[in-house]
Amino acid sequence: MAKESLEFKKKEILTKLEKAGPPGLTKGGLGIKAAKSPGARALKALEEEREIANLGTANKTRYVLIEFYRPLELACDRIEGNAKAAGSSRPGILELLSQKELEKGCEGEIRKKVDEAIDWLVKDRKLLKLRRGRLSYYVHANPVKEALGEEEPSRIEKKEPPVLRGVLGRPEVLNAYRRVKDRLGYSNVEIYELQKELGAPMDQVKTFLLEENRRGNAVLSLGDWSLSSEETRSGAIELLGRPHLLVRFMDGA
Amino acid sequence: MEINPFDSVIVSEPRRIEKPVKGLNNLPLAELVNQFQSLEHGGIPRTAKAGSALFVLSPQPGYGKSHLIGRLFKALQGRATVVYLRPFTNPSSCWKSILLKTVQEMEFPESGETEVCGEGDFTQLEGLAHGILRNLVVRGLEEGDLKAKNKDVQLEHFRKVPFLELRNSEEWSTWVSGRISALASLLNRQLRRAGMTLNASSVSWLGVLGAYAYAPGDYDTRQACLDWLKGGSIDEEQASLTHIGKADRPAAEMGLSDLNELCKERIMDLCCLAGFYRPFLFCFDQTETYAGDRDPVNAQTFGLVVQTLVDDCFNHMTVITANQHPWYNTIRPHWQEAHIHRLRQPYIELEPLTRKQAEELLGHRLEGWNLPEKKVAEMVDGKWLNDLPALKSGLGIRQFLHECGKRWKALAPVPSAPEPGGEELTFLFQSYLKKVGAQPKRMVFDPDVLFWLVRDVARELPGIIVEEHKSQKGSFVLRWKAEGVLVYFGFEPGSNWSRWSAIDREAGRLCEGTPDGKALFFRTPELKEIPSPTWKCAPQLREGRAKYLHILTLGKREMGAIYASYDLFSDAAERNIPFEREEVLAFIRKELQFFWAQILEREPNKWKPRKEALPGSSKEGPKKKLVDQVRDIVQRERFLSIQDLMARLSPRVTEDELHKAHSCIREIKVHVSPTMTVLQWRQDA
Repeated sequence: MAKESLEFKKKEILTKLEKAGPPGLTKGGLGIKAAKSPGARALKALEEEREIANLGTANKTRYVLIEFYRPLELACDRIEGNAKAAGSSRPGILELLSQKELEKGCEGEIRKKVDEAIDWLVKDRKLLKLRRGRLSYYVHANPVKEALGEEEPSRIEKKEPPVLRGVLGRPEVLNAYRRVKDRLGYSNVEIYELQKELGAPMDQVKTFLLEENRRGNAVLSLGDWSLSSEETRSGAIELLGRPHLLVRFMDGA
Repeated sequence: MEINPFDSVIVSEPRRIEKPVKGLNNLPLAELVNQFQSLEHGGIPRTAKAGSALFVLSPQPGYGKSHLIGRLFKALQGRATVVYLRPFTNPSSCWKSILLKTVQEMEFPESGETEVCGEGDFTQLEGLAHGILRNLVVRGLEEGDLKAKNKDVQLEHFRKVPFLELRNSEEWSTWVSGRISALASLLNRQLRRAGMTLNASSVSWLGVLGAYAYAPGDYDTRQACLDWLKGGSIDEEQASLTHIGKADRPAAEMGLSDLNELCKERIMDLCCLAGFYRPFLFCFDQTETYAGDRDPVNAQTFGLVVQTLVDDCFNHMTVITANQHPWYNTIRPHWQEAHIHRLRQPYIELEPLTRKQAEELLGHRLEGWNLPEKKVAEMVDGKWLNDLPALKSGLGIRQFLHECGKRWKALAPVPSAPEPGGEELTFLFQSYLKKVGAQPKRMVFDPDVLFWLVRDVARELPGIIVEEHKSQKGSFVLRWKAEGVLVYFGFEPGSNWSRWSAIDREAGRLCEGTPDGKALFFRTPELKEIPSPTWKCAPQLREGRAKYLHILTLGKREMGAIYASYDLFSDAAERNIPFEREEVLAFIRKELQFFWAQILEREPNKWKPRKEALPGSSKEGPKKKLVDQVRDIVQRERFLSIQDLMARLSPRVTEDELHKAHSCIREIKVHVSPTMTVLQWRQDA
């Protein structure tokens, strides 16, 4: 009976979160109040089963379905948004932002990814990092390009999110990984091969894999740079200062 | 003494590996052991065939390939005759090289924990000889082919008798040597029933194995047996004494391809005979060196070797390790489909280090040193590991150790002295010299390293043209053309007078009429002096040496530099160090100037070996008293540098003697850095 009730509660939570989409819901929003209630147990079970995750903190929760759990991407979005919104007090002058100003609005798991997201945006040339003494400042790259007279990015590009142009679903990636693995006969597949199989933009695949790596699901390995083709090298993800060319999913993929 | 416990990141000798962390690569190990078990079924003599070679794949260097081999050696201790095979470099003599290394490996102690046999230990080859003879007798008694008064009592005795008891029994050794022919008939009968045949006669095999097993103190007899096992020729007198049949005495002027074929047959025979004892385990490591990007023949030959082992040899398991990209990009493309099909699918894949395992490894590395408590605490508390988010999924072991090393340096109260910039290779090379120096077993004749040096490394030397040169009688395989000198190279580990007499004749013919010509052979200190003063042909050889026959006897220091160069190159090829192959080759060319100069020396009166290089000094093992002294001091001190240890020993000993002594002690682990060699006492080693 208890088991049935738990399963029922789990289904109820999943339905609510599906409806809520990327913004997710707080514990209260899911109708869970008591810590030992069947709802709380169902919530915990779903977290352990990796069906859902909490983007917020223990006190200020924000539960989302696992496919919306992308703290790094969300941090990128928020930071780039803040940088763009900084505007300018006078024409021809750019406003510099401190890290504190950039990370405004990032909370919980998203806040934990702020450093990485800033690094990512700097590497992706969306943000420029400037240093004065021991202090670092940031500015969005677009107004700099405009000021320097470089071609303005097209309107469509401007409207797109900074890094991700779509959402890569975990099942989709895992299925592609399995296909590549079965075809090649080994588990550490080239990131480039995986990207080809997925047909998704490389930056999107890399962001996804990096995130999976941080979450303990995907091992990245070096391979051999000197023996790799340009195509293989295009899949490199930098980790510990070195380009990693291979990925292996651990959870039975 | 400044110690960084994370400096050691490369396994160079699989018999001396560090304690494994829980769970890491347990599945690959279990798979290998499981496959091996299938060879242990069936009655004696066994006729097991694995059906395929096992292939271990690593996504990057430093995932634990050699460490896994070391663990496999330990797991199969007492169940397999284990052979670690570094790559052959000359495809024309691939089997000769594999056989030489197999015999050298069989001279390692059975316990596998030390490099030299201690008291109460015996070599793998002794084990094989005794095992074959004992089980032959047991089987003969069981089947009624051998008659005994108290058959059951005898059977019970032979089934249980330990090897050492058998070795020390004069009655048994006399009985064996008096009945070689009868035992050989018995061996033939049993092999025939099992559907196996030997290439050499069973009398020769039992004669050699018996003579080797029962003449531990007779250096000449043992050496003759080892020469024969390696496919070399031996003196008529020795051949008769050891019952080697006339047809099994390799001709002194045997050509290289015939000799290579003979060596293949020896390996096949050894595998057949292993059916009376226990299977062989052949492990091919460092396979990146076979890369066929420049010359595909090495890679192709490697494929052929694997196919032959799998198809034609009984009672063995072959394991090959490789890094993924080098394998798929530079070796596999040169293998035929038939060769690739000899590898068992799916391949065995190595695992990354998890966070928990990383913590265990970290703790393990910090044990056994008197390290600053605060620094150790900061390393162990694990908080800094949170800065390695990649560890959550898993990391290569070496990658993790590098991070630990960096962290260790960063925690130093005073920044450590910077490593010399611009001379990193010179600095690194010092640690390779020290590492090789600390492995006395490595200091033996290795034709593969020497061939690699005079062919692959020398190829880019200015003013030298390197050419393949197969001489008519097969004594020479390579030639250098340089201004004012023409050098023919041969690689002969044997010490048989008729073989050397034939070599001298061929060298004389080659150099006749070419005043710049000379024939060059390398010798190492553990080999017999050429010519032996007692040989009838000694005057002829001395005359040759005074004109065209240059026998270059390498001293320990020179061998150290040469073998360290090879290890450095091999690590660059395997991507174990951050230097390109070509960069390392250029460095070696410069570093070994003394060696090139010796090869190019035209004046015969300058060919005489220096006193230090004279052969014969390596025959003796370390003195027990010295071993005990070393054990006591290192155990008491827990760790100390080799110089400190030398200073405490009385009477004084050389560094070489000291290395031999600590090699007998299982608990001593050697750490090398470019500036020092440190011995550490580890109970768990």
